[in-house]
Amino acid sequence: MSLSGALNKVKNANDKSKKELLDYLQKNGYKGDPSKQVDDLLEFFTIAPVSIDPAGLVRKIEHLLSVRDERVREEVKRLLPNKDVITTSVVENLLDTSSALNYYYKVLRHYYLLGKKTSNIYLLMQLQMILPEVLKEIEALLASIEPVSNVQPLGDGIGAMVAAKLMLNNEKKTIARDTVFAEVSYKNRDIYAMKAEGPAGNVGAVGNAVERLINDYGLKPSLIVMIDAALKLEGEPSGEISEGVGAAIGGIGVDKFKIEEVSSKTGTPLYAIIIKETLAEAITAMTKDIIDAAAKVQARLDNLLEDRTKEGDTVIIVGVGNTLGVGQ
Amino acid sequence: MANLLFKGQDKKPFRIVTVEGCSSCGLKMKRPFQFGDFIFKEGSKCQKCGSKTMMDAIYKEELIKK
Repeated sequence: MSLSGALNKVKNANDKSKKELLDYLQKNGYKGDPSKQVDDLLEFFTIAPVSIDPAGLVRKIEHLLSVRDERVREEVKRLLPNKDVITTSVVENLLDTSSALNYYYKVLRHYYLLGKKTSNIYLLMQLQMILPEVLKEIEALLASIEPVSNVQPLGDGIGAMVAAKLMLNNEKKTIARDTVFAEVSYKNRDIYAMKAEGPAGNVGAVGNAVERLINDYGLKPSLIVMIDAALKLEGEPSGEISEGVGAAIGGIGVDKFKIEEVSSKTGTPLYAIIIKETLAEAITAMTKDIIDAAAKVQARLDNLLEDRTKEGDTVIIVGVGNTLGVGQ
Repeated sequence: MANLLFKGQDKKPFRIVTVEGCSSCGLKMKRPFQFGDFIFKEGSKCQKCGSKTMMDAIYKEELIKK
């Protein structure tokens, strides 16, 4: 396929995602044409803070992201003022998808037109070379629209699902924005399990939540375990699990920084269990291979608790990921 | 390469299923996903023992076996 043909397909993907978003808004009660408001939200940008003096950079990034998230949430509430949190979270997720596709389209178009305008064959060759990988990502984004609109669990939600299972039948308390935890007695340990509040499509603020449990609640955990989906390498099977150390969480790095900071300051061992999957599996409906991995994660978690902690110890377990379609 | 996009070569027909599990007798009941289902939501009554079930799993099931 020619570059112009591929670019046309990306434009179609971009148009389709926007149309799906507009249709979703109208289906959920928006009267009139929301195109103008949606276009404004798709073009809404965030300027990364200056990094030449990196001290305090994470705090600045967190502040900017918080302002952006609040603004987007307010705009969505303005579009659908009487809708429940699940519906508005779906709109936020669809907006994220449309923004990503919009950005892909504009950047690809930019390099294509620039390459042609300046007769720069090297620029066009580079574009051609990265195209298969980029198109796979675009295809995955497009495929995520249907499960998100239907509030179906995504592959990325597997970590949240494992934590939710521990939290079942225990009182849930809000600890940070869109984030809940439950105190659970499990294997004679005091477990503080947390996840984003479902079944809405949230990722929560688990960095703040872990920080608060230790700094404000005065917990002295013997272990912090993070459970998250992770991108697999080609050749690795989907749903395979691995254990390691460190903060298993994606995003721009604010939550990761906070958890690393609090665990290193208190000397708490930080462990991670990851469930391997492709990008397409992470952002589309959960597959059988991935959901079956929940039992394997639970068994690995049991071993970790028995090997690394003793009875009476306190442990924080963080289920990371988008909790769309996963309750607790 | 680029023609992978939207050609459907990689796409297999699938459906989304919900599995309701009974904690009393262990029966698992699989059915097509319905809007409003979510994992760990209370399900229907168990067809075997009449206890309440819980939605244990919701996942994509390929209609053509690998």
